[in-house]
Amino acid sequence: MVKFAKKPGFIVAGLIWALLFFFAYPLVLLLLKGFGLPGHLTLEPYRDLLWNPLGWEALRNSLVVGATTMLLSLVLGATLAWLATRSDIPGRRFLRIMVFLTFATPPYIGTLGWIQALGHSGWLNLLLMRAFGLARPPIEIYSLPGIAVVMSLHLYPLVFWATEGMLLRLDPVYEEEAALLGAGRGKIFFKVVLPMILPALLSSGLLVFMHSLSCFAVAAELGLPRRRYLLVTLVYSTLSHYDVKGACALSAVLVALSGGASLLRRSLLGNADASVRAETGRARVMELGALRMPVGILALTFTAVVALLPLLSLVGTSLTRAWGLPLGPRNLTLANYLELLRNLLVARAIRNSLAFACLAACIGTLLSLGIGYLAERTRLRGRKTLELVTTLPLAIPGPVLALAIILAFIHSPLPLYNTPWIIVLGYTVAFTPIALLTVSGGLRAVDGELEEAAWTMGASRLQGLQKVLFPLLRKEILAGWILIFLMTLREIPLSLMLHTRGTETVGVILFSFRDTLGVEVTAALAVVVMVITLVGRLWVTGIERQLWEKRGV
Amino acid sequence: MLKSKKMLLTTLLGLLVLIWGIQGMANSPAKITVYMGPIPLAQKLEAAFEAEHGDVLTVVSGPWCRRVRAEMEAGDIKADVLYGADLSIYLLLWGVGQLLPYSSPEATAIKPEFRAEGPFTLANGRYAAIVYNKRFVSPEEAPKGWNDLLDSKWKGKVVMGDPLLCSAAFAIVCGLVQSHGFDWDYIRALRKNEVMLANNAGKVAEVVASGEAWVGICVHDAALRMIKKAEKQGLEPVLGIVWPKEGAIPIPRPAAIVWDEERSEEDTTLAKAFLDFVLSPEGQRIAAKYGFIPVRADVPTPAGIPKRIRAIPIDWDWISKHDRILRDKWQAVMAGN
Repeated sequence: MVKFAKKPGFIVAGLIWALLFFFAYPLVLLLLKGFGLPGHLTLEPYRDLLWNPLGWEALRNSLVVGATTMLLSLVLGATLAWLATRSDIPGRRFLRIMVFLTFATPPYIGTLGWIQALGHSGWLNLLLMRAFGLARPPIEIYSLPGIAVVMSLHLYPLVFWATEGMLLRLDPVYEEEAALLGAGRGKIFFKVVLPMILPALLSSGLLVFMHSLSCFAVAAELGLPRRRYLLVTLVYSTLSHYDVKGACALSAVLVALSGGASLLRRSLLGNADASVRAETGRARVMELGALRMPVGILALTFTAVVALLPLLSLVGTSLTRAWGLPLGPRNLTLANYLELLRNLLVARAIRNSLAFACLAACIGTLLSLGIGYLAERTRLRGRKTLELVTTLPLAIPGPVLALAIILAFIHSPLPLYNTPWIIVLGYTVAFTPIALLTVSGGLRAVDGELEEAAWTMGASRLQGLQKVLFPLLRKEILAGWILIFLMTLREIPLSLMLHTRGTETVGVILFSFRDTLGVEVTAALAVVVMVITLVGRLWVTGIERQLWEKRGV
Repeated sequence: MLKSKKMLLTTLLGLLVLIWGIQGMANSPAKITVYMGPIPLAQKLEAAFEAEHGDVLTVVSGPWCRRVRAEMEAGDIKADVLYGADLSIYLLLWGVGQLLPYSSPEATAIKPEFRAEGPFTLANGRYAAIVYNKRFVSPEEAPKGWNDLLDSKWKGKVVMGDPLLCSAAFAIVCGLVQSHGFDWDYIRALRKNEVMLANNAGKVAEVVASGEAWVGICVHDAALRMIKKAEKQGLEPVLGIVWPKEGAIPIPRPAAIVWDEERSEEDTTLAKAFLDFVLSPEGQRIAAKYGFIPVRADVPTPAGIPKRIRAIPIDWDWISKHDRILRDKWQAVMAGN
């Protein structure tokens, strides 16, 4: 731990004030609303919650789904990341692309693919029924396990990227020494590797947990048919009945849950020793021997199915003339894509979304670097609260977060409502937590001694950051940027509440087209957005290569 | 070192361009703001109205009820005119004195069943009816009325909007309860028949068409749009609509002007002109293209909709006054009590 800045400097003070004003202030307004403030203090919304049996059921369901999703994602993500970085299975590049595709598919419409396969009349269920002569579909996707599985199949890439960055950076010396001392593979993994990647694992696990709490799309598509309510569905329900206080109270419960998880992560991390000295550029690769092909094929098939199944059904849907008819020569068309070209709003929305996404991603990454640094590298008082406050918006469902932002920024001192800036602000507040958790997982594991070494050699603090820390953290920084960018591009609820004339976004169009022009056109738009993200991703990878490989870092 | 300085400069320059671009998105302020959806319909109406009045409208789409509610909470409703959704939000705004009473000169042409009391106008007819999937259900087999949905052959195959998540679906449930003599037995029987729920009353069309359910309770326009789209491309539509023999449930789309003391006389005139336009034959024809039923007698109903629709009268006032109790009752009934 570096002794630094008992007195915050100019930049640090600015950062703190910005956080208080843009992150904490709307949240405080929201919490107060739950108690009827400003106005008469009331506990009624909380009393209603307490007496509502559905509320308790939803709380239990949310916890079960959240915990299961987290565990499944951790197992899947960590295993696949290890296979992709530390083993000699074939097709590792392909595996990475599949993982990216999985996360790039918007759940709002990607879930449809899972329903088409596993729904009551889904092809896989029908196939199984025919094969085994069953009367009822054997797989019930409209259930809590169904929700948890589909959520984790969508969210495991978050764990994958965090672990991958860590594993790549890990100095193989420890593992080599352990091997020399005669430790077996299993022992090396559990006693040497696991403790070192633990910070990243816990951070990404928390990210998945918080995300699953506020993910409405999957919870509604798979939960409602059989009346499985999660807290997030109840939040939407209170809003549909114009019960703002109730929505605020429920959101407070969500915030408390994720805050608790956040504190748990902190205490689990404790004073775990940072263990990455420097990057050697050579990760220790384990030869799987006879297992190489079977394990490789299994991993590749799994990632490919998980990525391509929703994606193919999305592309398929975007090519059909009419939803509900089977895909065949008579039902095939490109008209849905032409429809997109014909509507002038679409091009504008894509342009707007790209601009918002770029800016929000830049601001969010910078903020998260700053906060992560303060929290992990300094002894600034209140640094942990600062980190906590920045993480909390992730657990608040979109419409409620939008409500908080509207409450805070419709009047003076900063009337941003109905300007483009409120959308940038909304996206930044909503998605900075994702970058923060990604970056701080990495920061936690990179030893501060490296920067100290740079300072003793006469480098300034900023130079230390630029020459030592940033290069070491580049995977996390880049991952954080890309994550914000991806999530922003397809964000729906905030956009719906905050857009105005001229600032329509892709999310607004996605939502409105599904009701009027049908799933087919919506799917076409989703495909276009995915192609854009994929091209963007390849471009960013190209820049990254140029930047770092030439320097030989 | 030189290279990274260059990079930094390019990045900063890029950011500046980005900020400049985003600042440029804010269009010159239009005169009045209209909250209406869905987007394609809103685009057509805006274009037609502005052809006459110039660039005067700011249109906001999407599920704007939530947005109005948030703005209400902040004490500053930004909309001048509201058009669409269902009566619930209008009743809420009326209750707090936020609507400007206005009776349009066009109102004389409105059919009697669409005349309403209150500072709003019913601008389009919309009904909840039964839809079925023609690939699995023949027209003869299809349910003919609400009570046929209780037949055990539809067990696990009926879908309806979740009244907790959609105000139109809430009205449908309340309408069904009212029409059965304020008795919840009908809903109980639906539960026994393992009714599935969907996000909203419009999404039912999507679910039935996909084959996940075979029959459903759906707002007619969503189903009609899907049918028309298939027919236009020369395909046999997947969905069929049945107008229930007991009567369809009316969920009309209102329109109203928001009360705003600070609005200029000129802008209020413009807001009134827009409301007149929505009720005019042209505005009604545009809405009819999206499946909504004209409230005027002199504009034909969309193809595929019967000339006269038998409807169950429902008491919206009762629904909005007892929102909480009705929601709790629904929950209790669905939990098996």
